[in-house]
Amino acid sequence: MPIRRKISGFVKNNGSVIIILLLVLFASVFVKNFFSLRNFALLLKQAAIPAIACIGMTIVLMTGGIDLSLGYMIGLSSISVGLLVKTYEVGIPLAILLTLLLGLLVGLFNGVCVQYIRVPAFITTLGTGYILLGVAQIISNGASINHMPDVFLALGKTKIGLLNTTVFISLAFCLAFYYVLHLSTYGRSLRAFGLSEPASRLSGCPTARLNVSVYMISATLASVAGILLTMDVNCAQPTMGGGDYTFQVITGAVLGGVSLYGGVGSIPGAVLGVISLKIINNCINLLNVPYYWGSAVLGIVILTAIIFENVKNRKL
Amino acid sequence: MEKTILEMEHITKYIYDAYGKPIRGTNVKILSDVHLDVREREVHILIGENGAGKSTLMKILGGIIPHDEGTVRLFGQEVRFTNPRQSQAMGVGFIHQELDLCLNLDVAENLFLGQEIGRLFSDKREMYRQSRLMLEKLGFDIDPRTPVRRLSTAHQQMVEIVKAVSRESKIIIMDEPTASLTQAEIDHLFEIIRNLKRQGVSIVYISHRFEELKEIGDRLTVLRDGGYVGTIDMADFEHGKVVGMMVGRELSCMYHCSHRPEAGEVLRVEGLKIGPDTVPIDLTVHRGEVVGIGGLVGAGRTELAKSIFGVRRYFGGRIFYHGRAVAGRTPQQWIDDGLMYLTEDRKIEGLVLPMSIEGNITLASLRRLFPYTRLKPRVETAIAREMIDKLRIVCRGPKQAVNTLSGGNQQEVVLGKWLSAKPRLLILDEPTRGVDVGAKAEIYEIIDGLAREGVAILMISSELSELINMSDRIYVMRRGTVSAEMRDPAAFTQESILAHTL
Repeated sequence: MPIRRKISGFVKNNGSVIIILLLVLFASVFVKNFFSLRNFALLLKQAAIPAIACIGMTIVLMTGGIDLSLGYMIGLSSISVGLLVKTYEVGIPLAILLTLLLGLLVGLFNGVCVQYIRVPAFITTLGTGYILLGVAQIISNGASINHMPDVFLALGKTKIGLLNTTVFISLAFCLAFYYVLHLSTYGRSLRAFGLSEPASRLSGCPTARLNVSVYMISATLASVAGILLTMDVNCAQPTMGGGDYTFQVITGAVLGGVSLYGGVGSIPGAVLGVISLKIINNCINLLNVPYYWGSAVLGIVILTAIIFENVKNRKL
Repeated sequence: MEKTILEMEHITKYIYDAYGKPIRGTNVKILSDVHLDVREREVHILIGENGAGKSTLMKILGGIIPHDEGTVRLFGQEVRFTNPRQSQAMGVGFIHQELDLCLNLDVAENLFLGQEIGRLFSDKREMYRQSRLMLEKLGFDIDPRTPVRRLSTAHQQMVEIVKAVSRESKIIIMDEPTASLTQAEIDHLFEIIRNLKRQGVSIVYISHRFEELKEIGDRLTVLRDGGYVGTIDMADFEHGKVVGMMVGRELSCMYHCSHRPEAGEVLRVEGLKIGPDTVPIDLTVHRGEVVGIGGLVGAGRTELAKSIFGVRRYFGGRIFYHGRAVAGRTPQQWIDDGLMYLTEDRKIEGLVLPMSIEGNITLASLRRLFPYTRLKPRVETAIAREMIDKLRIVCRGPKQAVNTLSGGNQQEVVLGKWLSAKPRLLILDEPTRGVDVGAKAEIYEIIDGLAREGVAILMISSELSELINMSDRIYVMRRGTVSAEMRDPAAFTQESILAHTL
């Protein structure tokens, strides 16, 4: 019994590590061209930006909320930074700063609706998401902005060894938020809040502020992701990101062991979840699976992950 | 004499989980060898302190939870209910204390819930017609088309009664039916009960209000601490005797009382109204003083505590803390200033159950312990260990999850949380609820120790012996306000406290 408990405990705590190990093992054996340094570098590059968005989502999910506007925030920040840099010719640092500020404000709006007006997070962010998409298309007239300045692109696309600066920026965010979620009083309060709102409030955790702050973090990180994506594709688009992106990010978080019911989750888990997702995509590509099969496979992965999560949470 | 229709004998129930199944390996009994017999056409009163097992016994009769040992005989037939439908089918109607009508449906829909008339579509007109007949038969003036949400509590109660009667119940359980009724409504209810009696229905009636019992009851059974004390005829009813049966034991060795109240006033509440129409409350607490708050559940004690602690709206009044008027403080601000509140509800409001012991213990002092936001695991573990030793928490270690601890140990973790946050005034709401006798004595010792260090204690309790033996002063609450202040510890008796609560 103790051995079984130990094994089940390990599986429970390290689900995402196990998933990723199995995936890599499976892919290395069965998928040609998977096991190569170039492919791994590509994987990291693909995972870098969603990982940043996923950190924000994870922090929202920790409270038991959800941020469905995240993908649309990416689009809005992309077109904003594009407009500011190219059309209004604002300096690049200021343009980036303003875009981040925009994210912060959108997050504040979401947070206030959820915390003070008591609109369920699901509805609030669904609504603001469409507003953001609308605003992005209004301010751009639906058009994309190509050919961003080289200095701007260089921020994300400079190669250091095999990897882009984007990967290192992402890594920096991961480390910073590892501290925030796992080593700081903020993270501890957040966990307590997610597990039991009344107990944490009555123990003096600033639950109202926590609940607003998570949406601000999420939207701001979505802005970061939007700016980095714009650098990556050299094109600012109002429809970048979108609902599909949001769901990919949620899938990554769930794969990484973040509970949709709040209070349970980790930054390494979420990042590994995103990487797992990218490995699956990568294999689908390498195996020449017909394009339309891709989303079906993803759906199966999401369901499996959620079932796995439910089962593991039931067996304490 | 009327014949006996229900006999419950040697009923024992072990502490159970959310599904009513006994928790594995436990020997903690919440009901132990309890008897109850009900005769035809009688109002049988069930009385006892909070936690005496009245509701548990009725849940067994109502089929909500099964009994573990003993026999239940209904109309001479041995039964063992596994769900409420079975007991309903045998003629047991249950009117819960918290009414369980569907608020969004109308009266008729509630009356026929689960037994709608008509096949594919329900025949509304027929249902309304029959509902109106049923309501009229009992003398209720309620339109069956009214959505239940719009009815007052009293009217909702009437609908519940009609529902129980309409299903041809032979025994109707009423769990504190008068708790939220006005005097006129109570009179009406009693009329209905007498009416039901004439129709051959028996009633098991749970209440705390002595004056009512004499008016309506035929016989009375007293439970105490999950055990059976005795059954008497209402003809032999004596106030003192029944109170004696209810409270019974005297466990004075359990209590430590070595603290002395000091002069400094810590908290003063002036004219605080916990409801829009309640009488204002005044109270004070001094350094090193244990102030008890007695009263029945629903008398407004928890509301008072929550109003002070800033988690509940109140309706006027002022709060002074260390002589300064304070208003609109949040729990966080109070905790920073040394006022803390141990909640009545341990599992939802007191603890973050899936979190570790150390996580829970440091939760209220995170800002004080780690002002630069960085958690120091070693400091955290050291504090948790100190509390585990001091409070003698039985556990595998500070990392153990709180939901795997026993009730008493969980309560000590909550106490540890507040102790490590360095309180100056600690409000304790039922500090020993659901805690076994050994842990109780330890908790009393801790409370006494705190008071000796100069901490002011405001202790809400439904256990009279606890109030009497721990308090320096007692406020008794009734109907949302303080009905009496008792200053002389020598004069604290269970009877004198009860006299102000009822």
